[in-house]
Amino acid sequence: MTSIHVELSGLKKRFGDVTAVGGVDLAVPEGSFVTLLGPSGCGKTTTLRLIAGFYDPDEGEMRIGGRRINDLPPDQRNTAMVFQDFALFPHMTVFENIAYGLRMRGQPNAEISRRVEETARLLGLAGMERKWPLQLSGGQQQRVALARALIVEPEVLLLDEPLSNLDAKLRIRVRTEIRQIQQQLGKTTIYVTHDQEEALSISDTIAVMAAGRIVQVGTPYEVYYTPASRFVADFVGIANFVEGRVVRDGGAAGVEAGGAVLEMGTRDLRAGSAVLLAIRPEAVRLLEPGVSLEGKNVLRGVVTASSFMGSLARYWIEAMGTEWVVDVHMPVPRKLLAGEVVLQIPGERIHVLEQR
Amino acid sequence: MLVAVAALLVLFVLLPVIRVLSVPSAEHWLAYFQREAFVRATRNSLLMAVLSTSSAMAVGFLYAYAIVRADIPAKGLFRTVALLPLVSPPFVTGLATILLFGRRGLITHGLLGLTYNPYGWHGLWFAQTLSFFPIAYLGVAGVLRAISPSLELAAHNLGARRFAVFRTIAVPLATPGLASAALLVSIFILADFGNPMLLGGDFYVLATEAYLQVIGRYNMEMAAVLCTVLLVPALGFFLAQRYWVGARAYTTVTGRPTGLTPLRVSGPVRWILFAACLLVAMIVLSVYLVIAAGAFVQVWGVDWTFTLKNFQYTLFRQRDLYNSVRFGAMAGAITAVAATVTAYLTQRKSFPGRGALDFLTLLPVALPGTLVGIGFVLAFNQPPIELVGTATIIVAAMAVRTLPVGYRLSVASLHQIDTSIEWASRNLGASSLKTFARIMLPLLRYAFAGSFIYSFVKSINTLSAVVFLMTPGKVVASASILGLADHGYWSQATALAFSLIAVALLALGALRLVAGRRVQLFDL
Repeated sequence: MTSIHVELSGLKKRFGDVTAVGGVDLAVPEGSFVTLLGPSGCGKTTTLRLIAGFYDPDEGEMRIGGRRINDLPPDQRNTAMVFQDFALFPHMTVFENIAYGLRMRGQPNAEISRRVEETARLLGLAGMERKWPLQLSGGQQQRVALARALIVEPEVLLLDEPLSNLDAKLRIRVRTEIRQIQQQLGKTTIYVTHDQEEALSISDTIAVMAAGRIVQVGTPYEVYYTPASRFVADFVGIANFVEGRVVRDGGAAGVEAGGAVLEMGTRDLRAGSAVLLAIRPEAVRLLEPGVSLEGKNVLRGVVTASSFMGSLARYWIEAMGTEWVVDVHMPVPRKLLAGEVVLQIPGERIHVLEQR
Repeated sequence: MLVAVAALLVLFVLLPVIRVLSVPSAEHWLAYFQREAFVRATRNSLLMAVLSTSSAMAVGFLYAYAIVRADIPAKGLFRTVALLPLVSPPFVTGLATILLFGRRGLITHGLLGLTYNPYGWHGLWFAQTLSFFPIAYLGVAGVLRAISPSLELAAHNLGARRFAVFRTIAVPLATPGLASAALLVSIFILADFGNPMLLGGDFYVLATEAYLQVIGRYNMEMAAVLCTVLLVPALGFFLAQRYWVGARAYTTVTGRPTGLTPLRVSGPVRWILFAACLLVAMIVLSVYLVIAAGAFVQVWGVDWTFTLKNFQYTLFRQRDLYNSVRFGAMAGAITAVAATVTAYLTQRKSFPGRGALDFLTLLPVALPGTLVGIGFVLAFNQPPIELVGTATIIVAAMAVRTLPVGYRLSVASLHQIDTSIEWASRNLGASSLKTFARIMLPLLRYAFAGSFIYSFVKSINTLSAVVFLMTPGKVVASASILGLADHGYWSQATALAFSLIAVALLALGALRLVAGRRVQLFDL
């Protein structure tokens, strides 16, 4: 069990009448990569800025390595941040940008040169030290921002939507690199994004935020497959929601919805209670029309729209009185289904969101 | 349209400059270098520019830093106070300086019982600092606002203490912008005529010396020489601004609003800044209170009883104020139209000589008023174009002097209108002219109103150019204030100055009513 490195408890921040952060508790283990994920205005960036010291919290405590940092000014927290707009100093070369933190710490010139060179090499910036930030591409600027933050060996590395100014392809490459470097250095990292795919791909732990609070903390798998609420299921990926009533509990649980009964195997359900189910689009199997309706959870549906997206085909299907989104991976070449289709929903892939 | 604009610019901007440059002969230049008075006036001009620019920049920087970066109370008051010198004639400060510190001065004579003589370089320095610090303030505030807050926060986050952030980030990033603001201020101070006239005493500068040559000796050639000397540094600063500073300015605007608040100054610094702002604001306010007080008393320094009789003279017996308003309104209308059309041409059309047109439109910024006045006399005093003695020449001079700012307003406004809006109109079947009339003009209406009001306010305050162009019956208020003050009619002078400031403020109020906060003439 690794020790807790960054700890937030009861953190609150209001701006005028607006509560930006309304009581956040979070424990970040040493060396782990935690992502604050949520829609804009959920308080994730404010939380990050509270940790960096750009805002003062109204309530609550922040600790790094067990030490309370609430009253430390930003320059003494050692929480280097990578800004959304990179915030590279336009009047300094790449070298001076990277060296900045060490200069502020009064390091000798020889030491600075050695460490800048080392960090530039780590981030693939060797040979660019004499350039000016505006001469670099977006991806290179990003690396300079990361190098500038890493070189001061921060207690915790903060990243505020660092990829949002990069184009789509570069974003995927850079996020993989950020993750590799983070694992290589074992640096405790807090990352903020509104992009669920980014969060799933990069994190050890995701903290999903909504309206100033953390609504679920878990591994990417947990957050994706066992979302804690309808909000999380909807925000992280796409989900089909089905409202129903438990007709059988115990070893062969069944939920009646839209005139059909979904068999769900062994579940902790109470007969008679109302439930909300979530089913991921890729969990549903799509069969050719005319397949016999034998077997469990087989439904008849009608394709209302379809869209070919390369590695997958997405269908919108009317079934059980509701619209389903179904993804078919490795779609058959030159053939999109239309009209009547048959769906099959594996019982074990149905997630129970709520039970009343 | 293009031909008309180009012809007017050549006629009213280029021709007067060429006349000033070409009229003097070699012997006039020889006289310039040999006569000690001229050499001294040149030295005085430069000395005053250096002194007053430094002090105005220092005050402007303090003021801007406090307002942009410190959580101080009464920011609204400070902003309004800085607006006053911008919308009133610069020589109002000189007038108030005399009333406060002069032989019958309220402070020196009335309170302290001293006999202090404010006439000379020190009084002038004081007045110029007060008159022109708001221009420095505007420039510096713009520069400070353009520094992305995340840069300073990034430095702080990487371990730089507040002062280190200021030293390593704010100062180097602001330097090109500060240099540019200082150049602009120095152009204004070099060219100013009213204050040296009122307060200079025997401290003659180029602008006042040139005036003496014209009015006292009818020596237009010698005056043209002095104007040329005055033009050299002003034009140098203008070109430096355009080609050197402009190219070096760091673009730190990243486009994405980050929602970050800039790093604020700490407690004690904040109160020091507040105290400094308060002191400056009090001094500026006292200038305007003195003007107001002077307007309503019988005889300044002698009989303090309240009276309205001073206004009787200024408002009803003389046509000066009426002339100012009439000429100013005409100049405003011309500037607004010319600025809008020229900006549209240079920003949206491509034609040979576009850069030259842009240059000619902005050039009057660098032309000292004295040069414009003398140049107009030289260019339009004989056939084929004989305008001296008409109202047209006064209005034209006013319009030329305010054209650059109106043009800049229109250019800025055009930059906000995406080219695709115009393409959409053309794409849907509207001709180029129809697109301009139906799409661009309505979108530019606030910039148009802004140019009009700016030009009006500056035109009713201008002095240095029109003083050469007036003839009996066409005297404007600014000149007559100077004349009244020169002869010691303080009450009438202040009453007229008070009325002029009131008209300017009314015009600004009208603009606010029409355009709300959409046009910022003075980006406070």
